[in-house]
Amino acid sequence: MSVLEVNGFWWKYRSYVGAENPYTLRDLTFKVNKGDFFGIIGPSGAGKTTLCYALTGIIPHVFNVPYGKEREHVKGEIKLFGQTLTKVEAVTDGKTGKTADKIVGMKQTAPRVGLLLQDPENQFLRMDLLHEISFGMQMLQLPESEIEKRAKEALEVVGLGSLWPIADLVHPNELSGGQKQRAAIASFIALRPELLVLDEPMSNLDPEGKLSIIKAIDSIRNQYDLTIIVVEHNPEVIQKYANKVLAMNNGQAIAYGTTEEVYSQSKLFEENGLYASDITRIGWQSGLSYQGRVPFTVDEMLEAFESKKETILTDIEDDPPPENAEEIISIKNLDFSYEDGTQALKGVNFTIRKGEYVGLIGQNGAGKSTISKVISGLYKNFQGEAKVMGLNLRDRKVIQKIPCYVGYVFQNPDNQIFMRKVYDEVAYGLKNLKIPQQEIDQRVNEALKSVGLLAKINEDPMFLGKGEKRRLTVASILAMNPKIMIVDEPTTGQDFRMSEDIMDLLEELNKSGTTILAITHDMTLVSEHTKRVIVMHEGSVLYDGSTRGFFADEVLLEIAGIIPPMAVRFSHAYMKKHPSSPCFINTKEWVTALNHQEETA
Amino acid sequence: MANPDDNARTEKKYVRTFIFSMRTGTPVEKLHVITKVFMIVAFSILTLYMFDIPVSQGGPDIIGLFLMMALTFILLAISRTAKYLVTSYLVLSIPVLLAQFFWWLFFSESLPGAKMTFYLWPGFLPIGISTVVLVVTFVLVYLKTRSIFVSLTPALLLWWFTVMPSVLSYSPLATWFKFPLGGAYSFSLPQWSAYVGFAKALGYGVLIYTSFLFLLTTRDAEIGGALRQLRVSFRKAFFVMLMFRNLNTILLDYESIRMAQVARASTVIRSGILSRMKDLAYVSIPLVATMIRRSTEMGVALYARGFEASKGMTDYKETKRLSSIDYMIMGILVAFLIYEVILGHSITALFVR
Repeated sequence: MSVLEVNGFWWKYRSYVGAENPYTLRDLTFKVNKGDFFGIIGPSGAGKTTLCYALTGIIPHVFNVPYGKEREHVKGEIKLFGQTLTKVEAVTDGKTGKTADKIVGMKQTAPRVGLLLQDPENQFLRMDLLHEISFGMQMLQLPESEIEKRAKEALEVVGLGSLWPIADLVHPNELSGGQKQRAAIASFIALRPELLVLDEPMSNLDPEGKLSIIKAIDSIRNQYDLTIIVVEHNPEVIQKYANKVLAMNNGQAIAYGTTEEVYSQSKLFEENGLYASDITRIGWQSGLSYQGRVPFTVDEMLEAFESKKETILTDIEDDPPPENAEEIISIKNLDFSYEDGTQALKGVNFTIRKGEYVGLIGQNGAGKSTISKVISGLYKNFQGEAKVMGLNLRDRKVIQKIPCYVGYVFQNPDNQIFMRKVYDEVAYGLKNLKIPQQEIDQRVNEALKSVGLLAKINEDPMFLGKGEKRRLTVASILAMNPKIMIVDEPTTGQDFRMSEDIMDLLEELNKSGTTILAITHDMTLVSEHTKRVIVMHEGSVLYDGSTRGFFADEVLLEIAGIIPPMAVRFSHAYMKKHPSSPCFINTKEWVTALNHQEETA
Repeated sequence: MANPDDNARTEKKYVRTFIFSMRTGTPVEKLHVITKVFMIVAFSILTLYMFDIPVSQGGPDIIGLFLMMALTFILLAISRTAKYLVTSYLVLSIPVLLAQFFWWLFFSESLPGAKMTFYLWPGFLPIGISTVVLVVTFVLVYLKTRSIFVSLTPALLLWWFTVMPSVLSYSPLATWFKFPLGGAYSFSLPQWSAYVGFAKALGYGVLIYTSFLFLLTTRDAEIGGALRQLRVSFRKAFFVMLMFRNLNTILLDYESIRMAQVARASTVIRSGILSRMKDLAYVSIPLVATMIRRSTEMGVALYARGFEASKGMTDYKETKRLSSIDYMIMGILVAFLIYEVILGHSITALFVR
């Protein structure tokens, strides 16, 4: 039985100023059946979020269209549970007898349909968890006893049952990243929906957080016979859980079919900048196949490889660490507590030398952002010793000068763009440093050129795309010529191509001498770009050493609560059978090793 | 054996309010929002009334105002929010109250027959103790800040305050030379002005801190529940609730935006007040952009939970009854109102007599 039927659907947003907007959704046709785990993939700007809005009736019933232009903005039809959700029809007014085009269909899809957006914080409506979960039920006017029963049950289903006794005291923003998403899911589960639409529900979470959320979603699907539609960049999630996939670009469907069918098309992924898992990329590039298709999982890859029974490259050389370079960051016995008494850092020790590219990793709440803010002079009340370029950060006068040496690119670009012109935005920091105008012009031009935004120098940053905004924030810091650059989650919410661009840029900067400290949850990125990792765990440094050394140690990974990238997991599985094999940590290394085998053969 | 649920509740010591957090399990947490609103209203009436008690009847009721201030701070201390108020908003509110005091001092209407005691401009340039104050202040502040503007402002202010008494005292010790420079311009300052000015500042202080007490110790569910008890429709109640709830979000957004600004060297070079104000104005660009994005997503969240189609709303653990503490505080306030406003008495007058 089909839950959703989309037939030749087109949509364009109304324009309030200037020219008409182009169509965001173009001629989409697909079907979602009851019990499906339906994946939607596509690069940024493909129209995925707009599609989620259309599938839940928000488009066009909330984001409306100009009167008389219904047929121009909405074409085709969407059916939900067998009834029309959205369609334009000529309707005759009973009183006047005049016929006019009208958007018809279900005006309200709740509670049968739930929609969870990327950032749960923006969806929270109340100041305590209990009322956050109960809000929808209160709207449904369920009796108090039923609300209580369902709220408790929903929290238990998403694994937050332990919070029930204090649910009325906990503010949703006090929860960790993963708990916030679970709470948001619970608020819909309590409404007993038949269809749950999730728009990138895991993008801000650490790997383990992601896994627990997706497991929770899948178990709920089985328990309540739910249909799930999920927009997700993470290919592992889609490949493991989805039975059907719609790939989109520029508002159009570029592929639609079973997960196996879609992920077999390597060209489609390369041309459209879509994320594919490490295993799939290794499969494509080495030609290994499992049951006639590219392998999806570590086990499938191992089977595909073992069936060939051939040896691979057994040697791998790491670059030597820059031991003789000067110490640029030095942290000794550092403790830090927040105003409410929460101790965020306990006895942190590490040294970073000039020219290093270090990955700072750990679960949500491990202390990564806190230590970075201490290094960049934003958090002052710490205990212990912190030195940057030999300057003591306990000295208030030194702290004021730190932005001249340490550049901090924050996670959310929207919170760090202050000006209405790209030029002014990059020049902002330079003007604060009272740099002569001529030099400002030169530095702004250079910085914008290196991030590929020079052509947009006179534009308003508000109208830049997501990836462009991210690059602009990097340029703004770059122009200040920092000796150390701290980048907080450089690739979150970015598509494959944007992430690659940012990472290439950081690598270039590193080659030209800038020390880089990248805070990230993206382990594939860590394995591909950093030679050294500092692993934070519950406010302390758990491991500080080579990236390979960390990923090779399964016990450490377990303690840190970090799920390594698939390429590493494949290595672990392979090493169990071939203990002498080195631990290859990324796709590139695996492909080199496998192709070497072919060359030798 | 202790109930684990009770343990969890005991361990959760603080709960978020509209701005900041308050201690759980205190009598203030149990206060009904209606009591807090009644307190603001009663204090407003009392304050305005206490200002206007004529000098002939003993003047403004300073002790009454002090009592109101004390009650506010006791409640703030019980809820453990006083420290937060002192370290954040008190710094901002004191200059405002001082400005209020001086404004009153200089620009209040004079009472008939009042003795003139104040010059804005004495008509000559006095050289004396005031000049020494000017030079010393300027040099000391300049050595510390190296900014002419920053040093001149306090120096001139102090100079002006020392000029007036030295001119008025006509003491040859205070004023060594006089350079005649145009006519004198004077203000008549009634004898009671300083007293009334102080009462005004204290009264407005009471109103400011009582409003903070409300924001520091109230949560959205309380407002929603109280409005529903007052028969306000659930949609209106919800939007009032959402408005207050967003205060908290805006404060958090402001903090992260300001941090990004500091990271872009906004505090590296000590800049003037004008450029600091400009920086504050720049915060508004990302702040407004974030607020617009949030409000769009909140609209979507409301739709997704059935708010638009809903015909009503079940009350679930939002409304609460007035407790004995509420009755006690309201009783004190009513007694105070009757004593001061209806009977026309003043607590200060009791002591003065």
